[in-house]
Amino acid sequence: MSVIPIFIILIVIIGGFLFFQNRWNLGRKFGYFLLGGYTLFLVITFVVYLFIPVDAFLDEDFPEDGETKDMFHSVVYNGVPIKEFAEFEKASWDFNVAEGESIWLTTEYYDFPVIIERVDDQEELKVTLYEMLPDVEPVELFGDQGEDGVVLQSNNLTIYSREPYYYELGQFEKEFPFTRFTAERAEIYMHALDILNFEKLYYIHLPEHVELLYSPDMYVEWLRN
Amino acid sequence: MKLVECDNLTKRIYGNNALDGITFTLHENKITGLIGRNGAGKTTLMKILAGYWRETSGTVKVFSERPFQNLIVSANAIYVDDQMTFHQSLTLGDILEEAERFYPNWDKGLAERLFDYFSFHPKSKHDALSKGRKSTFNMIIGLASKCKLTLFDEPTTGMDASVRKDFYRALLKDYLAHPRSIIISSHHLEEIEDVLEEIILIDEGKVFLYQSMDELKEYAQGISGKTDILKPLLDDVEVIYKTEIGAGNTYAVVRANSPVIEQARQYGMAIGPVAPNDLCIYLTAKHKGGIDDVFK
Amino acid sequence: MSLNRVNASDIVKKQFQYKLKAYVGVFTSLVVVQIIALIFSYGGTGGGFSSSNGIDVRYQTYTVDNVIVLTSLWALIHAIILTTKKDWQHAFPFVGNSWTNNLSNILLLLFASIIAAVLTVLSAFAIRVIIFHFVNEDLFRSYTFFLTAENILSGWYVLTFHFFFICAIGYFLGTVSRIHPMLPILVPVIMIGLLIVFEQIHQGFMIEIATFYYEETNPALFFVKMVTTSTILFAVSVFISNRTEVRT
Repeated sequence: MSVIPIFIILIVIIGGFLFFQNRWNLGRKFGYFLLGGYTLFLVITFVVYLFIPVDAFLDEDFPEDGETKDMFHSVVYNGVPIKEFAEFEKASWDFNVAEGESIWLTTEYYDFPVIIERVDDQEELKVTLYEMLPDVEPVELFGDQGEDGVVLQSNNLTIYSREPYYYELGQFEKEFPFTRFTAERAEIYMHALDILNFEKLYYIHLPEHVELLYSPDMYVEWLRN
Repeated sequence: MKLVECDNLTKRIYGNNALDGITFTLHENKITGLIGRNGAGKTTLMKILAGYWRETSGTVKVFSERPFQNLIVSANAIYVDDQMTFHQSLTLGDILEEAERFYPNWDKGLAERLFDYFSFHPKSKHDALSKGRKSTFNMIIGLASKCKLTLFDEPTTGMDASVRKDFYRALLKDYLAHPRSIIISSHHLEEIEDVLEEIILIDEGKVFLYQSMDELKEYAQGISGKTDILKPLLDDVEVIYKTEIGAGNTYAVVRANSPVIEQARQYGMAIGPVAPNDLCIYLTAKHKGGIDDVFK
Repeated sequence: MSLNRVNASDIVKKQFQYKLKAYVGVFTSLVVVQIIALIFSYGGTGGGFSSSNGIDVRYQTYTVDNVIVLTSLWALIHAIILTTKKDWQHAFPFVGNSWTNNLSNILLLLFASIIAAVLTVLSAFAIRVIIFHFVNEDLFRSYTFFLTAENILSGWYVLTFHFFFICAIGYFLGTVSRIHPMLPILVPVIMIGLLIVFEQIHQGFMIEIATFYYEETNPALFFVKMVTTSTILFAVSVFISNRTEVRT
């Protein structure tokens, strides 16, 4: 917010206030009453504040460094089987593909990490969408937000995505003067997305003898057993 | 004890000498009138005595202290004029309360009685009072503070006749009960001459006359007679004031010890005392004959 | 009738009490200013937008910056008002001189700064409670929501001296402006001009000044810097106004 309109509004309000204070002959009692009332209001809010439960507010699952719930990382680098994340499975699509075929993988609108695992005893190509959403509810937006979907057409496997979820969040800054003499700094807004603990990835079970091609730009990891 | 001592006191304001080498000494417990025309330096002198303004040169002592910004002078002297302002958030009741805290000799009973007598309301605001009411209220503060030195600068500005009378009566009664030094400035001497014990007449920043009231009343005599007889008599003597009244008649004011008086008496002219107020006007009339000369 | 002896500290005390009564408007306007600032803060003082695949986040940042800025302005304005001719005269119907008047003004400003700092710190909680309970918006689960006792103390400490410092600046500017009738116009011009010239001679001059005072991380040094500067400003003001006549 720019300073200038605030400045103008302030001058108008103070000027008007002083004018009316003289005009209406508001006495000293009114002044004390106002000061007392405002102080009381602030003290009450302080008491209410004390009742805001810390536990309910600060999530215990709050990701800390080195202790992330990152599915992609766990699966690809730590060898955690994807079954562990069954709770985040959102949808899956099966496609029959002929042996020896080569399929071209593309995404439409948005890119997501894709993990590909080759499976021996399976004839179908299976695409599973895992989605880990923040605990907070996204804002309902008007209009068509689209659907997540996967389509196989003439050897093109295309992943369609819905519009991004939209969140409106508030945050408090605890800067000057509260942290003047302490080391804490409150630049959390730089990492808004880290805090939001959101992840969306596609997992493809790919039958043997099916070739999957994709553009080098895509974020694809092969899972090697 | 000497209350006020001024020696060659000079005050320059914007290049003009508002006070030009004033020298006088006031003694305790008297009611003194400070008389002079507008701009004569009455207010300047009082503000210097009250410690509000600084003297340019010369010395000034009040209670044997230099008054400018002096706490002892501030606590023992009060200056009352129609410019006296109080913070707008204070009611008249508040102001009396505050004055009581500040002035050690504050006479609460007197303040309350005067407050009631002049039917003030404790909840009203000083700013909202009319000019005369303001002067009346300020007067209450001036009297009730019972300061060793009380300075009233044109205290009756805006007051109506009956309040003026009440004021001077109150002043006199309170003074008799609690003698202290009071200086009243006014350009209407006739109004205050009954309460004054002595007067200081100042003109153009100088003390013109400093006398007791009784001396002033006998300072001069007025003579009226035929112009062609009186005029030659006045040629060689000091004449304070002279004017033609009607056809061929002249009125002249001379010092009471002037030889002219005897001569005039021999001619059978009317001789009488001069009212102090008129005398002060004549004394400070710049010897030009007054406003009549403008229209000649 | 004997002369009443008075001592200066007694008069200062009486004038301070008188001013607490007379200048109730200082505190009334403080409340008004803070309420306005709280209303502004309701909309957030900053924010931004983050986007990555699958998620868009618009976030609103809530701070007490508005309250601090507007309260600083309040401190500056009232310090200047105290030095105006009209208010200077109000102090002299009763016993006192420039010296006691200045000291009681400074005491009043110190007292007002302490109160303002307490209210500003408390307003940080008011904003938190209002946003938490009445604004339908999810909050980042962040430790910055909670203020520790140490935060509260440090906030109050810093703000008290900050407001007092601002008062000293206002009092100084107001007093200087009283020397000559032209100065109320000239002083702001000269001040701004000087700042521009200094900034040209030495780049980053103003930032360095702000850093010098407000980036100080040692509480004792912060105290020394603030109080020394305020004292110098007040001392110069007192020196100037002790030479000035009162009551026209």
